[in-house]
Amino acid sequence: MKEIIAQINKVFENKTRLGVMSALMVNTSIDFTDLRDLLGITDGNLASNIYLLERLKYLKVKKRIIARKMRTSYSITESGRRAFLEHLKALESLIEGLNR
Amino acid sequence: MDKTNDHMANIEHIRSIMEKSTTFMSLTGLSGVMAGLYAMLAFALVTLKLNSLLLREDVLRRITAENGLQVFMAVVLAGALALTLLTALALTIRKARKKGQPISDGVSKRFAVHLFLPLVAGGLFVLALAYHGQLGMVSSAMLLFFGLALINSGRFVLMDMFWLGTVEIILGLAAAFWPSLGLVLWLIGFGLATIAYGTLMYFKYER
Repeated sequence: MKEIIAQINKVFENKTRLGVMSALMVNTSIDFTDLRDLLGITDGNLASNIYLLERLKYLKVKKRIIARKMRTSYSITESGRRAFLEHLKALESLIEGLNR
Repeated sequence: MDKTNDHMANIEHIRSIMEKSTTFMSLTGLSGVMAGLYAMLAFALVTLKLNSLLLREDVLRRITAENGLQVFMAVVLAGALALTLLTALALTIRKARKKGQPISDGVSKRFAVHLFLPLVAGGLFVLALAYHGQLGMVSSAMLLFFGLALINSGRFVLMDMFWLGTVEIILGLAAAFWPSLGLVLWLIGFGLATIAYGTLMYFKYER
């Protein structure tokens, strides 16, 4: 049991970060605004949580200028994918363990 | 027990975000039904004007010879297409508003590109066929490109577009081998099949 809890990733206990990672798991890349609308949160909330995920190297940032506007998009890194899958596995075994 | 509920809620959140970020939810089966009705109307107008259900050699020759007939058919087709697009757009916007979902997000754009790229290519190809006087192949080309567009964009919507796409492709190939049945197969593909599909999807996902 303790080992499983150790695998629960504290980073993903925040709903915004969990949402960002879930969306990036199944999309090659997503724009900032699309991500914000998808999760229904404010710019500030999204930006600060993305900054944290970026520092952990869980996601990559790509900035392009389209029609004189900066467009920022994000994609998941290999270590981000691994961390998320481990977290998911830990969640699943916790639920199984508690249900037994 | 509370902990389990927490974890369950987290997993539900993950599942819902994954689905919402990859699926365009605001399409409605009613669009398919309306498109089919417009197609049936177009079929009725064209067959009445041609006074024939079959595209036999003599009918094709008549169409090729008479510019008026070609213009009439082009106008009817363009009209049905315009009505279909306008209706689908209106119904989609209405459904998105009702569910409080964005209409132009990443998924809807990807869906639109994957749907319209083959459709526009097909439209231009049909124009090229008409330009070269290959009118017997027009039905087939329309059905084939429509089917490919549906198969290509199907993964972005909940509805099982793949199956409708497959039906359209089979009809398109049939129309290629039996061009005289072109109009009838066109009616089945664009009229009856889309109405049946739209109705099925409406009851499966929207009730």
